[in-house]
Amino acid sequence: MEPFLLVLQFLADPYNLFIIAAGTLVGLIVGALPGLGSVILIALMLPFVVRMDPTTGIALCAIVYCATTYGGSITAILINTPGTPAAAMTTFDGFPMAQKGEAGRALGIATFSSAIGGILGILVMIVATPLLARVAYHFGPAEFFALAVFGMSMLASISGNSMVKNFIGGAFGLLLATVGTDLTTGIERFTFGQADLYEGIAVVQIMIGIFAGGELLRQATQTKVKRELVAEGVTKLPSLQDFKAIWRTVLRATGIGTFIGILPAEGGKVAAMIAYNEEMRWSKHKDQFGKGAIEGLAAPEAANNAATGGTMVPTLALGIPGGGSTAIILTAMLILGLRPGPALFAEQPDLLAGIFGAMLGANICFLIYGMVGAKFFSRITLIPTTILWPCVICLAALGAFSLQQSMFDVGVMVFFAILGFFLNRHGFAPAPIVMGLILGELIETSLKQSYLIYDGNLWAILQQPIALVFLLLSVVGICGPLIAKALGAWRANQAALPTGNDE
Amino acid sequence: MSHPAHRTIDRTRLIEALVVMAFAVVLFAVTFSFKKVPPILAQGIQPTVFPRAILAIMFGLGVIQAVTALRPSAEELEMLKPKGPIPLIVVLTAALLIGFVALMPVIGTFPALVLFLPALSLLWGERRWRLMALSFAGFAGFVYLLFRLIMNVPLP
Repeated sequence: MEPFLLVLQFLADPYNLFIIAAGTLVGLIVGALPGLGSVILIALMLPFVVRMDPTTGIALCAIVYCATTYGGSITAILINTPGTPAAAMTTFDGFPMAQKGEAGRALGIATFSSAIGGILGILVMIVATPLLARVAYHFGPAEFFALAVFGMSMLASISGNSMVKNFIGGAFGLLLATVGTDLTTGIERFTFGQADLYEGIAVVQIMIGIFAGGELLRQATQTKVKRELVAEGVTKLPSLQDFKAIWRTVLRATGIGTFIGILPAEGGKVAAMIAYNEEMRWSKHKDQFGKGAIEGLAAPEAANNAATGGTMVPTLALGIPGGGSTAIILTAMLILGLRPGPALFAEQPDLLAGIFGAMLGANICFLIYGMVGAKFFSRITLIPTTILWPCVICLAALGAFSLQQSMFDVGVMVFFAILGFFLNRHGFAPAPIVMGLILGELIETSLKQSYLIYDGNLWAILQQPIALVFLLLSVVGICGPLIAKALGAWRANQAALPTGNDE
Repeated sequence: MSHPAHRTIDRTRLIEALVVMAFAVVLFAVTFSFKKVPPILAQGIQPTVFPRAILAIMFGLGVIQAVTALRPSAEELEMLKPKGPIPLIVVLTAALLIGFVALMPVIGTFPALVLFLPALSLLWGERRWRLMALSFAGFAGFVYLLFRLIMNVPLP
């Protein structure tokens, strides 16, 4: 009961309520802007967040994470452009509904499904995070090493990208994490004589560059894209009949979203995709999917919002980011001197209550904003990119400078902006690089500690049951997609073979 | 003029793989310039071990990428699309961004902003002068308020 009481205490403070209301508003606005999303917004906010009180700063990140995820659905429904990648599946049935003159109903269903999915996901998070953290009390260096390897192995299943390219990106991130002075020996690695690199490469500047800068260069190729509203966004409350039709869908999708969110490296986009596919599989009227089926709209919305709670579970309990946004939140926590894991629960219960309360509040808040302000948010999507992006990139450059008042840091940001564009152009997603960057230190440190503990015998890691389980899961994580692909190809070949009846 | 479907090698992927392998080899060579420490100080693991292990993995992944590029599946061949050159607007946008960052310490943040914001906007095809003037003046005011007055950051 204690976590719930602390959450209620957080929500009773008017200052915290103001932060929730303001953060949700900003998150909704940014979520509604195609190209921007929670990852870019949180990366841009980092220079400001690290100057705040830790609870307020991290709570603010969590609030905008929830709000942007929902905000993306407004543009998906009204202009067929998902504001965030997680809302991509929402376009499939949301936009056809808007075209049929049911924009208000679609927005209402999306808002309710998002809020219910989000709230249930957070309730799971409030219960599951302390439990997982309690398990993590038994973790030593071997277990943390295996866990971090498991986190990296999940790069294999990030959808839409080549597995090998994801791993190359992850390895590049791990390598970036080695830049600077080795903490054990004091030896400089990959500094090339640059004093600015002695303390390591600036993680925040890399994130701002690779996400915001890379997106700026990508947006440069899309300046001629015109966006048009197919309908005014006045949200209508779903009818009782709609509720009856979607409540099972929402519950199913929430379960899927929370579970997918908990898996490292996966996030709202994958959760929405799986929830949509599962819903179509269970549906009695599959033919309506893609033409404006309300279940097809409710499923991805409930799933991607439930995933926000899920992704926070490994982030807070184990220090393993659940996705791109949580990787940046984790970075903010580390900069603020907070070490996620079991100790956080013992030493910082207020901080955790702040995060849980803020996310819960954000879901309730966007339900209210969504019902009364959808018309306003839908118009925000029409802000020209020719005005928006020059401002965004200036804010990114100044934010990169403000952390250490260093022009070298701004240079790092620009370098990674250009590199991020090239990598993206060649199919290397930025998320694996960030995962490697964040997990690099943990992997190296825990490996060194294991080496010392087991007297140079690293095979001893395999004798630790928890570590062994994680390493086996890593093997499954890597081999699973390969086996699935091979099986798919084999089935396709079997289906293509001529049968005796063909003759 | 060869149709992608008639090719037996995915050239783009092969070049990507070669770049990854070359990157790993060069950085592996760089690790030999790291200073060595006595084993007692290194606590068993020299500072070169972890970076070299990552670079070896990276090289291996590059090899896998190269092998798959040499023998792409029929499905992959179908999906092969020749990549065009990088659009000029991207190059110019990157150049403007580099110019903005180079100018910041020389002429100051706000004069650099005044030059960069309309320049990028114009490059991207914006011609509504009043909208640009109002938006960018408002943004410059926001930057001053946020960085100078609230965060007290000494901007260049």
